[in-house]
Amino acid sequence: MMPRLYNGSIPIIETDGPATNMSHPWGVSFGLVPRDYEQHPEAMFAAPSEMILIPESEWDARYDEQEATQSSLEHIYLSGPNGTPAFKNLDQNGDGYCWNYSVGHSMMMDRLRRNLPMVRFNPHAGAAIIKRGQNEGGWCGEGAKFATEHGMAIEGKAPGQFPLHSRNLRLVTPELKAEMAKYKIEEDWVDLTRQVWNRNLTTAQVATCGFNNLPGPRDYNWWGHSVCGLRWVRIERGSWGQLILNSWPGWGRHGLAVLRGSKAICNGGLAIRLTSI
Amino acid sequence: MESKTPPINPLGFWLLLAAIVFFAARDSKKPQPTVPLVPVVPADPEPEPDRSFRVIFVKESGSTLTAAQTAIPNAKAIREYLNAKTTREADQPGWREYDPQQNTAGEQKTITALWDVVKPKLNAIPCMIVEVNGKATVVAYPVNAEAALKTLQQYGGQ
Repeated sequence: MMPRLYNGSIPIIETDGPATNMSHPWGVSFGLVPRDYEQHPEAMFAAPSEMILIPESEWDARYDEQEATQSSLEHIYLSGPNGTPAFKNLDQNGDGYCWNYSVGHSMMMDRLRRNLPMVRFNPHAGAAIIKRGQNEGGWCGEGAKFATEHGMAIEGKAPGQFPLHSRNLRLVTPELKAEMAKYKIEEDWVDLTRQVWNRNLTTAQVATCGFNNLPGPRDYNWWGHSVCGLRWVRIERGSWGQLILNSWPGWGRHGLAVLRGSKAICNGGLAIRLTSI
Repeated sequence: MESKTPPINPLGFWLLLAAIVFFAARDSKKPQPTVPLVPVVPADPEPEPDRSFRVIFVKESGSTLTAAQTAIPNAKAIREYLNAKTTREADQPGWREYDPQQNTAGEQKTITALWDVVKPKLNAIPCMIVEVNGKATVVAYPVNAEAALKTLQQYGGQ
C-alpha cells in the first residue's frame, strides 16, 4: 500500500501502523540498541531550564510563518535546483551505526542553516572508534557525546579524512583526530544529568526545536532506529508529526519522511544548537 | 484637341497589382536596418571599484524569538538575496549566522577578521552586522523577514 504524503511528496509513517516496506525496507540496517529497561530504567526527565517552550497554541502560527517565508530546515534542505536537496543524504550502508549518522546529519544541517562552508561528514569514523571497530548498535546520546568531546570526521581518503564506510581503526591517525577536533558540537539542548541511553526531549521540546530550526538526532524504539529530526510539521489541522532525515539511500523523498502520532515520540534525543566551524 | 487615354487591359491591371503585393510582402520579411534612437556614447572605460558586502546575523543559539523573527535569515527571499549579493570567499557567499560565543577557529579569513573586529562592540543581541566596502555597521534585528530584506537592500543594493 502506498503511504500517504505530506506536502505532496514526503511519505508519512502513520501512527500505530504495522511495519511496512516504508519503515522496514528489505536490506537496510538500523543500529539502535533495544533498551533493557530493567538494566536501564526509565527516569524522570527534567527539561533544560533555559529552553523557552513554544506553546501548542502557537504551533499553527509558527508553521504558517515557516511556510509563508519558506524558512524551515525542510525548505533549506530542499533548496537545491528544482527542489533537490542541498546535499545528498548520508548512507550508513549496512552497518548498525544509525545512532551516529543521526548526529552527523544534524551537524551538517546546522552548518547548512548558518551558511558555513559545507563539509560531508563520515559518522562511521566516530562510531567505529566508540565500538572498537565492531558493527554494533548504540544511542544517539553516545554519538553526540563523542562529537562534543572529539568531533566528527570528514569523508574522504586524504590525510586527516576517513574513508567511506570503513571500520578500520588503523586509519585512526593523529591527523584524523586533529581534523575531527575541528568539527565539534559546541552547544546543544541535552540532559547531561542522564546517561547516554536516557537523554531525551519531550514532545514540546522537539516541537520547539523544530520551529526554532534546531536539528537533532532522535532515537525510536519502535523502529530500532535513529534519524535526524528536522521539523515539526502540520500534516492536517490538529495533527502534527516529526519530519526526519534518514541515512538510507533512495528512501523517502531524498531521505525525508514524516513520523506521525505515537511514531513521532522519540525515546532518545537532543538538539544541536551550535557546531564549531 | 481631344486627348484619349489608352484603355486599361484588365488582365494586365490584375497582374501588376499581384506583383506589387508579392514584392511588398517579400520585402517586409527582410531584416530592417536598425537605427539607434539615441546617439551611441562609448562606455566609460573606468573599471568599477572592488566592492565588498558581508552580513553576520548574531543571535543566541538557544533563544526563542518571535515567529516572524525566527524566519531571519533563513527565509527564502533573504537566502537568495544574500547568496546573490554578498562577497564570496572560496565560492562561499559572505553571510553567516553566529552565536555570540561562536568559535571561528576554522572559519574563512575575511569573515573571521570582520567578526574579530565587531564582536567586542556588540551590545544588544540579536543583531545584524553589515559590512560594505570595509565599513561595518551593527544593525538592530529586524521585526520580520520582509523588514530584514529591505534593510539589507539598503546596504547591498536591489
